[in-house]
Amino acid sequence: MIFHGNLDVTGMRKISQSLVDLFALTIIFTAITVSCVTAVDVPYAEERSHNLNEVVMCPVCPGESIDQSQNPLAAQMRAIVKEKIQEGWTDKQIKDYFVAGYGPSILLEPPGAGVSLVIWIVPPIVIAISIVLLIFGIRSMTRQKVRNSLLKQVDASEHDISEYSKRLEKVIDETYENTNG
Amino acid sequence: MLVDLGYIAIGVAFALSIYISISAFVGGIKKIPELIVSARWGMYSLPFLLLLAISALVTAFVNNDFSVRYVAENSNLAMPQQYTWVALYAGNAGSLLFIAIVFSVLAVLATLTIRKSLPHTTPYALGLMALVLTFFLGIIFFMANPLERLPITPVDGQGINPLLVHFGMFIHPPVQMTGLVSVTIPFSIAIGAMLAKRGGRDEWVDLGRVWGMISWLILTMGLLLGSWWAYTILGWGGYWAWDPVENSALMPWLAMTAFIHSIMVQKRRGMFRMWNMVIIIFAFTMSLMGMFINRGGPVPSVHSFAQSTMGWLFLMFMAVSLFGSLLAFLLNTENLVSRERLESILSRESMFLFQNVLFLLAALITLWGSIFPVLAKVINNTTVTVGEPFYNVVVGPILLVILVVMGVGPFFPWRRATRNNLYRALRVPVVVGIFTAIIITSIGIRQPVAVLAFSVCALAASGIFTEWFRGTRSRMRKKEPFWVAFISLIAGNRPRYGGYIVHLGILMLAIGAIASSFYSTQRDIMMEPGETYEVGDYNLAYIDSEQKTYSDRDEFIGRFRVTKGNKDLGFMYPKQSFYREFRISATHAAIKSTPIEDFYIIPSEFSDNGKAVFRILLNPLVWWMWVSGPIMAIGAMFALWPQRRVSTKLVTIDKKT
Repeated sequence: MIFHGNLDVTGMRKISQSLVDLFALTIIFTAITVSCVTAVDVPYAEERSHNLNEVVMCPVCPGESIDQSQNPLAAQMRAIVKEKIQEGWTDKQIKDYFVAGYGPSILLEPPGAGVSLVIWIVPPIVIAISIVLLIFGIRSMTRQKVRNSLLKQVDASEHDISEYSKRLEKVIDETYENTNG
Repeated sequence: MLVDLGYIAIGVAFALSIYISISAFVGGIKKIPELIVSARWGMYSLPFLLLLAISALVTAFVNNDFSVRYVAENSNLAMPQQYTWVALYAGNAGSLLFIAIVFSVLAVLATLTIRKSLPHTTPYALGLMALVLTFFLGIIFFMANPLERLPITPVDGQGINPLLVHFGMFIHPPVQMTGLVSVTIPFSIAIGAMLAKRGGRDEWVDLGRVWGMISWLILTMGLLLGSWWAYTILGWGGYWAWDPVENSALMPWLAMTAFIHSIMVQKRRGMFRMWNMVIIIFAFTMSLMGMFINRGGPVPSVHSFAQSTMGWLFLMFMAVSLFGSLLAFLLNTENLVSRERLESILSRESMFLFQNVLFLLAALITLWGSIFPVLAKVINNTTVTVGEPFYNVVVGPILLVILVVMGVGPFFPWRRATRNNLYRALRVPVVVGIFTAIIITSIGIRQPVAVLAFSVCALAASGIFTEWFRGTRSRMRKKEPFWVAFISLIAGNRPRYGGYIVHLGILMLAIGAIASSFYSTQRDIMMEPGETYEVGDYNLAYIDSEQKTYSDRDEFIGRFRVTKGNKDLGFMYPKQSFYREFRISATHAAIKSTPIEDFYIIPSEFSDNGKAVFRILLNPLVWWMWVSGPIMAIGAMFALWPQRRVSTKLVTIDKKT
């Protein structure tokens, strides 16, 4: 291993230079994210109803939650959520209330039970399999024999191909002459 | 008259595309140059035929010619004049015609770029592109002909889905469709090279990369424009909902992102030849999947504007092309053996491989989530909804790891990295990442995932910046002023520095997405005219509301005066339109956007005296997402811009003398 950084004057200058970089960069990134800090106090009940609205689907508008939808039914359902929260229902009770009315597909999140369990199980399996494949792939790629020279790939038909390519070029040129001239 | 001419033109184009594919393949296999040349000229003439058809359709729209079925179904007299020019892609048949013409133009451009430099690949690529065109033109001609006449001419048309009447309509749908179909070009070049038994020569790689990046860029723009459209018009304050149609546009994008990276390994090192074929086949399949889900896919979606019953045809075409290209791949593997060996797991090559696997995983899992509801319905007859929570949990972490790989990957040298050069390249970024984590936690960002994600972004960005600083400084030692040094540095290696610019764009996108998904504030409040309300530093006064009646819609417009602290931000006009015939309401949010945060008002539920529910949103850093678009476009074009060859020539002359 070769070490480039000798602790002489240039080395010191390099270090102080990277310190300047460090601080400049850190300050830039922190400054960008500051706006996330300006917290606005949202009443707890409103936050709860918002979170619930986001996971309850609108039954008549394809693919939209009642939080997103402009449909009158969605507005009614938002009102129901608000009302139930005021009456002191828990989130689970409210979700169950909608499931009882519309079936489990009213919830955006597939339940972690029954058939829907499958959807949660498959991704980790796929990820695990691809990690294993990746490891084996890299191992075999670091060992494999390769064709180091392009020349070895020239097969017997190469001669024909270059003949053909000459003919092709010729026809191309001829067409060009014809169209341009 | 023009309509009938256009109708005939579509038929001729269909027949011609069949001829092109047959003569190109036969010419390629039997090596008959005359056939190939005639196929090529056939391809050149296709856009003109389709241009005739599309101008017939546009003319019919502009002149309100309701004798044409498609015009009667997608337009009416009340439609604003400027929208009649673009209404042709509001429905299924017209958008297919649009896809066909765009694709024919792309195919001509592709043929022109490859025919001299890839003479052996060209016939096969030409044949493949013509096959895809045959599919589209066949569907258009026999099943969804936009120029079909109605037996009786109605007085007025049915009109267009009002959600489509928006400025975004001019750009998002055509860009998105162009993006999906453009994946065919790199696919045809790659598979064409393989069929010509030239896959092991890497000669197709340069043009494959160029077309891959063009396709990637169009897909990126389509996605961003779509998000921007959703953000401004769909009226819920978000921009991405993991809806099946959104996913179907995301999957080919993910696959193409993998492709444009792994292709560089083949370009540079002659490796990953089989892998690149697999990725491009996957990307092409995903783009067909995207069109399938969009054209009457079985999954309910907000985007089902162009629904039809022809989804199964797309599915069949997808299956045929997937099996066909996989079969061709399996028959040609012996030509695709790597030139070089992978030397170390700590190398640029293996970083690209990690990146590929992560992107493909993200695409596969998104695919799984999108089709699971269909599987559950078919197999078990249960209705399941798969939405945001699933993707946040499963795809979210993968995207985070991708950001890490993006941050550190470019600093691994080719072949083999030593501990020393990794230490030198990564110490500043890693320290900046850690410092950023500490500081933002101490100033009050406590959400662990957000802290992690922001610090990873800081790491990745500072990696790019330190490399720029270092390169510029070392050039400045040669007495070049700062700007000259910087510009000559990035102009010296365009693919690399263009790539960095795109990465910066991605980071801006990531920052915006992270901030707005973790730190958005939403208030739903009932207000009457004359009331004021405080949200954070903002003070909004609801002055009055106005109702306007148009021929097709009623508009309710609220007038707000907004101040932030002592600063007057002026008036804001959130608007809700109700389309009587369609019984659909569309909202136009009023947005004050700054790099720091967006102040966003959406109206809903207006009642008579102007009393209404307003949704107020404070979305931090969303501005960065929309700005990232142009930056990525600039970066990608920079990376694609051909290097001038002058400098290399000068070097050779030097050597000779």
